[in-house]
This record gives sequence, structure tokens and C-alpha cells, in this order.
Amino acid sequence: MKRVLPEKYMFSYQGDGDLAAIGTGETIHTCNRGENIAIFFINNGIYGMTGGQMAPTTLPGMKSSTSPYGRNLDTMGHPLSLTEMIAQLHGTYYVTRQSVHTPANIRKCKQAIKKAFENQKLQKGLSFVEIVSNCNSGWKMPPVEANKWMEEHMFAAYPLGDIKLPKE
Amino acid sequence: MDSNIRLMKGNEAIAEAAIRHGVDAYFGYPITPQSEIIEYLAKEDPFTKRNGMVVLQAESEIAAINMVYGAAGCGKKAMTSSSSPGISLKQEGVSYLAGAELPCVIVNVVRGGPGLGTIQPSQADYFQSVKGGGHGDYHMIVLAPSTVQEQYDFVALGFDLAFKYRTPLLILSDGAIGQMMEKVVLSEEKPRDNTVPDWAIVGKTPNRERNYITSLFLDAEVQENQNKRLQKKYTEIRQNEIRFEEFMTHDAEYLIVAYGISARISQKVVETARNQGIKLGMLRPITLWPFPSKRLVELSQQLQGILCVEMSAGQMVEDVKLAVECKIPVKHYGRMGGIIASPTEVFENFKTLFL
Repeated sequence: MKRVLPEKYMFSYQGDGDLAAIGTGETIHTCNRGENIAIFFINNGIYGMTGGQMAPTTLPGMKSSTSPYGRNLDTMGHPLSLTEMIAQLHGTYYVTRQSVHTPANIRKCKQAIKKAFENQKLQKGLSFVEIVSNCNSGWKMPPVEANKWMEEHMFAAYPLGDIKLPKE
Repeated sequence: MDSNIRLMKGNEAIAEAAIRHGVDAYFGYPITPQSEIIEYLAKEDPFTKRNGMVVLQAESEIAAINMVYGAAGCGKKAMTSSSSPGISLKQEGVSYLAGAELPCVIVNVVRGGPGLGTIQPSQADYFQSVKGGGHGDYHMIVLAPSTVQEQYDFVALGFDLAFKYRTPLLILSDGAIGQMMEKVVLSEEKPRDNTVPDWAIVGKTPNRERNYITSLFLDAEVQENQNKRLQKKYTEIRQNEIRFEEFMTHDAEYLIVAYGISARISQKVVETARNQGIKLGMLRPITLWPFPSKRLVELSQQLQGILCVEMSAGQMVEDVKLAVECKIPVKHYGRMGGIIASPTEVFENFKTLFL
């Protein structure tokens, strides 16, 4: 879409499944080509929309409907962090990981999203914003508990902050 | 290069046609025997050297067809090409294009299968092409070129039909037509057309409702209505867009039905038969979907038998049998695995089967 309408803003809003599993190849190559778009990746460690199945981002030992005894690293592989992977590609311009669980984090995340679109306006190339999120229904936790669990476990595996900043 | 007549490979003719017809974007992935299409486009570099047409080598066939979905959603003329195994990979995307009612042109330069198969020509993707191919109730319009000239001409015709009906359209070629060289009369180069269809996604402006392109309709009733819309469209296509060509059918007692490269061979068979006083004719479907069933029924009144010549185990023959309701004998002759039958071989088998 960006190739045929380069003057328009384009962004994708993606989850663990399409970005880090079934669409891994497309994600990597889109980033590697440095397409002048913004990618927003919502990482909640689970397949929420299909009803709580294991995602590539599911943490070790974490229970889901397809890992009911917890994710076993020997048989189910390790959590996959596409964000660190694509930061290494020459095609990416700005890569960051944010969250929206506190007002302060929301402000930071807003700044990151704004920056992603500013980069696009300036034709700088690909901006990638991961937003670590919770899924209280999929995780089977009340919202407050889910936020706490996210801080304790998700942020350990997926630390917040800028991963690749433009060389000024 | 000023002359409008050129000697070209079938694959090159498709690529040149895309540029001259003002196609906005081509997304492809190399596979034999159709790689000349993307190679030709890469060499011509129309994005910088001609009319700004986007040419992109995708990371896979799946990525390519989804890029087509994106560009088509923007109202642009987008196309892709591949050969059998690659076309199988694209089927999910084709189903999405059909469901979202997006126009595009897909080219299949067929090779022998199943599986990785061979790189030699075949017509064994007929079922996949005309019966849907991907999941769900849908059809593509399927055009079957039998000359390099038709490879060229069907790109423009393909886009006209695809946009008229908002449907993906398939050009079903084969490794022989894709690779062989023939004279092609080229059309004048058209500038790319910047008209934006009213359904296209180009960014909402304040003076209109937003457009929304999707093939997802979770409510079963909404989905059924979408299916009804599609079926209505297919009925309209069946009524208006059947194309075929006849050769010596006026007094024919026997008929060969063949498309693509098999029609070229069968034309020779008809000539041989006529020289021996056998009243053989040929019907060549140009649209494989919609299929020229009505014309076959008309012709069957005067016929004693029909021979389907296909490079497959017998696929189109089923549609011929359905058309004439098996009221006259319908037989199949074909070679598989990438072998092209010779006219002599087809003629001998015709005689054995019918005379």
C-alpha cells in the first residue's frame, strides 16, 4: 500500500500471532526493506482473539489453552523477541518497546507513536513500536493483578525502552 | 525498439503488456518457467525509467499475493505471476481477494505436478483454477491464452474484466506458451491511470464515509449476504463474459475441445483429419471460467462425439461432460508430467476412440 500511495501515512497494528509467528517472514522482510511505515506490535504473550492459545511470546512455564501445563522450553521452544531481532536489521530506523499500564508509560508511549509518524513524514524509513500489554481474560486474572503480573514477568523478558535510536 | 511488432517470449509479452497497459504494481517471486516476467520487469525498471510502475521482488509467493491485496485495496492495478507450486501458495490470498472483492490479475505459467513436480509445461492446474482454488465459495475469471499475442492482449483484457466485476482474474498459461517465441503486435503505451475507484482505500477525507475493505464477516447472516452478492456477480459474469473460438465446426461431426497450447496442437489434428475427409472441428474455450457450456450444448446436436485434449489426467473433460450431460460420448486424451502430445499421437488416439 505504501509503495503505491507513498504520500499517505501507513501503519500496521499487529499482535503476537501475525507479527511473530505466521507473518514472521513478512515482518522481517518489510523491516529489512526499510519500508517507510510504522509498525505497532501489541505483545500480550498470548493469542487473545482466538481464545488464549500459546503465542511465540508466551513466557516459560506460562499456561495457555495449548500449553495447559505451562510452556515447556524443551518441547515448545523459547519465547521469541522479534523486536530485538529486527533492531539488528539495516532497514529499521527506530525501534522501541513501551507499555501503557501507568499514566507515565502512556505518555512515553504516545511520544514513541508520535515519533514513528514523524519519522514517516520525514521519509526516514521503518519505525517499530512494541507495546507490552496484558490480556486479563487470556491470562485468567483480574485487570489489576494482570498489570502486576505483567510488570513482574513480562517486563523481565521484554524490557521497556528504546532499542534502536536514529544516528543523528 | 520503436517498432510495434516484436519477437518475444510469452513471459516477456506479459511483462511488456503490464507496462504498456499502465499497470501500477507488480509483485512477484521467481519460479521456473515464469521467471522471465519479473526479470524483464526488473531490467526495464519502469519505476525509474518508464511510467513509475512499482516492481518488487517479494520474499515469498505469499508475501507477493498479499502485497497485491494491499495495492488492489488502494484501487490500483496490481498483478502477480507464478507457476504451479507458487500458485498453490497464493491460494489463501486469492480467496481473500475474492472475499474482499478486489480486482487484480494473477498469471499462472503452469508446470507439471503434483508437488514440486517438473519445470515442463502442463495443464494440470485446471481444477484449481476454475473451481476456486482457495477456501470458500468463489470463482476467478480464468483466461487461457494460446498464443504469445494472447499472453500480451489478455493483460489489458484481464484488468478490464477484473475491475468491471471487482474480482481477481487468472491468466492460465503454461510453460510452453510462456517460453516460446512468437511475433507480437504491441499496443501503444498508456500512461498510468490515476482515477481512484470510489471503494478504494486512499485515506478518508472529511466529505465522505470511510471505505472499509475486508473479507471478514463474523455475523453468519452478513456473511451469507456477502455470499449472495458474490453469486449474483458470478451469474452476471456467466451471462456476459463467456469467450471461445471455433475452428471448422460448421459441419463437424466430431469435436475437439482444447485450450492453451493443446488447442494449437489440436488445430493441426483438425487439419489432418479434414485432409482425410473426417469432419472434425475444434472449440477452444478462451474463458475456462465461465465455461462455454451453452455453445457445447448447441454443437452437440450435430456431433457424434467430443474429444477433450488436455495436458492432464482429464480435468476440463468433466466440465464438457457436465455441459452436454453425457448425451453424446465424451472422451479424454492427454499426456501428463510435462509431456506435450504430438498432433499425430492425438489424431491416432482420436481414431481409436471414435472411428
